[in-house]
Amino acid sequence: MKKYNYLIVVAYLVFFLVGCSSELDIDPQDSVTEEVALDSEESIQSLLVGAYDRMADGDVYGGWFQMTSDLLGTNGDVTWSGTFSDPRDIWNKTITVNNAQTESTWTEAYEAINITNIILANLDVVTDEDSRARIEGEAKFIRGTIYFNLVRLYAKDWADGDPTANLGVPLKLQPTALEYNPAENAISRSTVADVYTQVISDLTSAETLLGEENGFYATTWSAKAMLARVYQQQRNYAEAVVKANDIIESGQFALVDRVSQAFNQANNTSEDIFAIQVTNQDGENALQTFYAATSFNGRRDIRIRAEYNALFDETDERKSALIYYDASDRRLSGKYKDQFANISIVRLAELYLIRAEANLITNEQVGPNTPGEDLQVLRTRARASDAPTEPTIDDILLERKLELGFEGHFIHDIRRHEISISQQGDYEWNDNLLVLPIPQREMDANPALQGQQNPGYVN
Amino acid sequence: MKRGLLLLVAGMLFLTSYAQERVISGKITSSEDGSALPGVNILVKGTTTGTVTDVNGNYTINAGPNATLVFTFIGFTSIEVETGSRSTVDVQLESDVKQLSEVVVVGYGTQVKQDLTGNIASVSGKEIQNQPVPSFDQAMQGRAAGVFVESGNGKLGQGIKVRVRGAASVSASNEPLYVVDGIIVTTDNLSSTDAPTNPLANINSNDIESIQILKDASAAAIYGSRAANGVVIITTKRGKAGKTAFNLNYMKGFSSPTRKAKWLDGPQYYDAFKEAFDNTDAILLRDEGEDFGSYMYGEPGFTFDQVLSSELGEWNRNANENWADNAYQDDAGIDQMDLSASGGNDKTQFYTSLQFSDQKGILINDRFKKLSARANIDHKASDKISFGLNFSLSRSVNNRLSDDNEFTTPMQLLALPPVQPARLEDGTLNQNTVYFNGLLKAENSTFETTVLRNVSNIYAAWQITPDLSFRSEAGVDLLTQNEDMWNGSEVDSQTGNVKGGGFSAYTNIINYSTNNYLSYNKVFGQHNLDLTAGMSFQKYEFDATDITAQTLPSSAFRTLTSASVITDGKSSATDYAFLSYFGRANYKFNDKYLVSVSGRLDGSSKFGKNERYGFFPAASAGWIISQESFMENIKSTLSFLKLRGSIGVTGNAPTQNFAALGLYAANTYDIDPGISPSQLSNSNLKWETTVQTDFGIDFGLFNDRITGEIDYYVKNTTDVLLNSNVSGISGFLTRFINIGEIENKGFEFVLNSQNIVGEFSWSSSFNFARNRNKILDLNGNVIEGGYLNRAVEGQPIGVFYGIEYAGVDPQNGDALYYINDPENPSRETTNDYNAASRTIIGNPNPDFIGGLNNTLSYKGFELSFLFQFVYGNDVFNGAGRFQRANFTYFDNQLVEDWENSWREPGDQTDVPEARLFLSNGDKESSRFLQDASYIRLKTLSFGYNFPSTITNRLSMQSLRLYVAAQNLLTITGYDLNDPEVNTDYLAGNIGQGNDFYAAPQIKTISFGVNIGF
Repeated sequence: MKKYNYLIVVAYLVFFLVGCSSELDIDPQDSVTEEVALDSEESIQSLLVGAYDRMADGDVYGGWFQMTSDLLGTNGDVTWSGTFSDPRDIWNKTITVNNAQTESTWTEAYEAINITNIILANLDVVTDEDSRARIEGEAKFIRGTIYFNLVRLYAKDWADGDPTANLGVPLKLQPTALEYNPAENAISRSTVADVYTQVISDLTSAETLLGEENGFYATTWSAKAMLARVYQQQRNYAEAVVKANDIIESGQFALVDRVSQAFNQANNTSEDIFAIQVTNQDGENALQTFYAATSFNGRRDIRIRAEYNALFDETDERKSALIYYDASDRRLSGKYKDQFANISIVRLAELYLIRAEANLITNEQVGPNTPGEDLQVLRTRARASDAPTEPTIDDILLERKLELGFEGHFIHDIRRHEISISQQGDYEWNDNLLVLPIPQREMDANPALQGQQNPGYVN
Repeated sequence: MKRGLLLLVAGMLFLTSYAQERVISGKITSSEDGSALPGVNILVKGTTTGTVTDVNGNYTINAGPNATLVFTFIGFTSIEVETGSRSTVDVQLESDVKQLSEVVVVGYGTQVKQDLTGNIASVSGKEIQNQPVPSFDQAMQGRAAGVFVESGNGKLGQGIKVRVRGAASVSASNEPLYVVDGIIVTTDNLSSTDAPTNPLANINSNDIESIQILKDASAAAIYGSRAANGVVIITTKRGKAGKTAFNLNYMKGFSSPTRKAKWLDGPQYYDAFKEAFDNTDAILLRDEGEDFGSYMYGEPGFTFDQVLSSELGEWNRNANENWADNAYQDDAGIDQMDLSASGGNDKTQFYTSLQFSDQKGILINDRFKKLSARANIDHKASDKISFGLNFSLSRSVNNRLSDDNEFTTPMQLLALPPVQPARLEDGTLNQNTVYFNGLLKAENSTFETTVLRNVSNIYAAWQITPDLSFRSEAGVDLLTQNEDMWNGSEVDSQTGNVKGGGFSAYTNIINYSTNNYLSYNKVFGQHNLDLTAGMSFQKYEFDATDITAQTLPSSAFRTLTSASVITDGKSSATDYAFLSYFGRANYKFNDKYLVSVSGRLDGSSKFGKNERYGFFPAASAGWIISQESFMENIKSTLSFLKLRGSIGVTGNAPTQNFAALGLYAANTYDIDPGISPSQLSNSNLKWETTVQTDFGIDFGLFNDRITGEIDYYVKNTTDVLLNSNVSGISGFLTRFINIGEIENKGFEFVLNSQNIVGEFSWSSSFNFARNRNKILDLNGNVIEGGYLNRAVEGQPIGVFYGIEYAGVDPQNGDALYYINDPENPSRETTNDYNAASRTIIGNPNPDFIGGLNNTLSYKGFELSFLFQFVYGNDVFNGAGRFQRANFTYFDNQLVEDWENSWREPGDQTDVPEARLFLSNGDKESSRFLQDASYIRLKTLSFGYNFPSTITNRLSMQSLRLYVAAQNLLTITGYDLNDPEVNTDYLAGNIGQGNDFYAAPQIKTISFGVNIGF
């Protein structure tokens, strides 16, 4: 009997030992492993959507690419009056290497880049040739666009010294293996010229691969428009004007009737060549967060200064319909009122301005309009006084300020035309403090960046 | 696993019908006067079978043949009696003040304290009962040596930080493992916000018989890969045979904040602000040649009042709003009612209890209500078979507040300028304040978290032979939480809702486990052998759904069924499992020499596939020197002396369930589904390994009237789980790896003393602990947290790293900073913040902690008070850049700062000149860092037990009236609110010692009555 008792206990224990060991193999339910994630054409398409999602992040094209440019480049245009100290430091040009905003923009941007790299390395999973071309084109559009923004913010301007010697940003073009290899991710900064070469290569390839229609996703027009910007920033006006003219004359896009209709829209307008989609289900319109009045659920941290306001004619709808005052009389931009509105990245209006600027500087005329006529198109639409028939470059820059204000162009216009800033101190166009620092976390985590911090930043 | 549970039940039934034990009975009396002793604990040695004498001192217990019975009773020497074949065992207990004979619950068994070779701290249930705090862990504060307990602030139901012998982990948990009646319980923070909540709040402190904290490796290693942070073993009350005893307790308490900082009032604010404006204007005119208006807005000629109107909106020259006080509610306090019944007969004992408590916090809308019930039942089916049930059910409703970093939290009201009234003349709330008026939130939102929890287990024990027993336990911890938030349209600017909205989240956790083990206990002459071996399996299944929606018809509609736009909805699920085998052998020779070895093999789904199982051994030895013959001569003085030492390995598993896997997660763009990589993999990921050595001396003096323990330990943790930084260009930020080394070493000192015995008695208990934490190696990683905290090699975890403040330039009022150029060390200063380099400026870890408890009694009166202290830690006020910023912005400022600010050349002060909208000393620096040492009268209670002459007349067994105070007195140099602080939204392993609009602790004075009948 006693032996039998022992046996029961032993059998009982053994049962638990055997019965439970398989219980240790548990798979996650809310996410999946890499093998499962990348096994089909559908999953590559999903990755592409994922890449757009990351590009649309508030720290990237959901707002901070643009706001960083405008806070750095404000020249009597805006005042940062919010409590967040990271944007305030950008505005004051007192950025430190630990600025959390410039760090997030960097890391989030590379997150999107990594997804495009995964897509481009797994294109052979896509069997349908048309789909493959489109997916490749979109991935390259995203990658090229993001590298263009990074090199504009974290490196010296194209024309500030020698772009083949100045440091740009690290070019990561291969997907990151999930079983992390530090050596693969220790990449030093490429030169500004190399980054631009990569950007042009990606965007040119996208221009070829993409079709004319693709819903709200990138099209050949999106790639062309981004190329126009890239060439413009390189002072390669001859190429910029061709791209801008192609789009304007394609007839695919049209300015909306009233300038206010170009903003706060849930869907892309007829003048949106590329826009970030925001819905009440997804997406983040960080511009709205920081520009809009409290009554629109914004933080109204960025206020328009009197000098900017004074640039407009009284009749100009860009003032009467796009500048407003909140309950405490703060002067705010009306471009970002609706928190679920899309964010225009490139509008047709900008291409008129690129064409005008390029034609004026090259003293040629590509397209049917003179620079004065191109300006007039925008001023007519805005119900503003007539443009000069023979505009100067200053007239064009002023029109860019009026038309494209708070859309992320201030610092780039200042650099391209070597304008001095006299707000929150005095700065030459190529002042070291107008270039963002490489985030300290990157300096620490990527040994290849040793000694590659931007001038003007210590710690 | 389901098959396993079925078999368990079947097995129990099966075992029940086969077992046999015999009944031993007897009477326990006092050797002094021969009086019967009720309430004596009787334990069959080497088992968990026990009973208690009834009111007449009689007991009956089932024990195997030749069982040894252990009789223990507070105030009497415990005694072990070998029963042989006797069925009647009468025992006389000798009166004693000895405290070394208590029975201590250890992992999978019990031990007599005298025989321990490991370090275990005990807190009795009596010490923590009826305290006006939601959870027992808060009540442990200051009562156990080397156990650091900290409430981050005075919000109810929040997460509590508990550190046993320091922190050893950077990226995994540093909280101990909690075991209730043998079952590992769920302690995960389930909060949907950044502020953690505390699942332990659902355990009724008044049900707790004892808490044991296993501190060293030899005590804890039997819990293997989750024991490195210590193990807290909770034992709930059990019934005692005898007449059914009812107990009713009612308590009512009144609460207020412990400490409050002083802020500028309306007239002071206006004057101070004007001064700041004039200072700025003068500087601008001098340096830039432009006035304030053109500098700020590009429009010259702004007068001071225009600036106020333009920036502040609704303000009033004559307003004098005390915003800081608006954060508090007047009727803060606690109502608590407890009813319990316990009793039984020799075969069946029961303990049942019911508690209702309703605590209102000091902050507006803060409330924690709890209803809990328990039934613990033990039954002896035969001499050999016993089984029982521990059942508890509780429901809590916590009205929660916003995180400390949100404008909507009550404490942020103090930032508002007193020249802005809270309410307009028509009585409505001012909606046009410079920051959001948090009273709008208080009056137009609700945030309720309801937790329903059932922690229950059943057990069966089988005395197979007199020496060998088998115990099987199966437990389940069911936890359902519902977080329900509603925000009216008045709060839209803070929530991003359009016309109001809300959030509803259901979390459901089933955490079930089973322990099955054999115990063998045999005395061979002078050899005493105690063996335990068994297995344990635990599975944790989590699932949650939540929904976020907005746009409600009106504020009358508050559930999301009325919301017209669903902005987010999701469900998620995750599981983990542990499978473990454990064993322990205790050997005692000649009652002098003690040796113990234990080990646990732990397998877990949390570990990488290459590292599925870990083994955690421990060994310890003790020598009871006082039993040696050569000590006989001094035994009257040194009545007890034991040396002990232990070494062992414990682990710390990752908090995340799938930290080892490379993963992809879904996301959305517009309405299209996308995916993106979400986590880097590490197939070799495993637990952290802590090797701990402990040397201790236990002593007793003067017949053990004074007892004490001294321990020295070194905890060395390697393979530290680190969410290490990776190069951001990879598209990832971090990756889990095992790397580096962290050391905690320190000593602990415990002294218990019966200062006076007799009719008037006075006893004291003192504990003191010092822990030194140091990160030896992190492979160069620097992990940041909090505002300035970081984990970095060569420093304690969480040190403050920042710019060192150097005071004020007496000539011009500029804030100065030490340059601290690492290349070129000097004490040179600069007024350019960016020209200064960061350096180590402080340490949030205390140098030492402790407590001193005194209990005095005379006749029916009893007075006890506990002083608790924390020394040498720093606190950084993250809100200093707003509230001590000399009007960099509109935030209201501390009175003392305004009074002390620099005004004219030659002023010697630490507060820079106030300059409106200009930065002068407002940036994060050691200016906002302070020593936060404190000593606190943690509890003070005074009670009177009415004599039996009165209680008999009232037909009561006992009647006690008491008054108790919590946090009555706090002595500290900290000049903001309360020094015990860690802002909720940043609290973590590294984010320590930060203040940011954190609520002060709660002071409560309560009155109670306790009736036994």
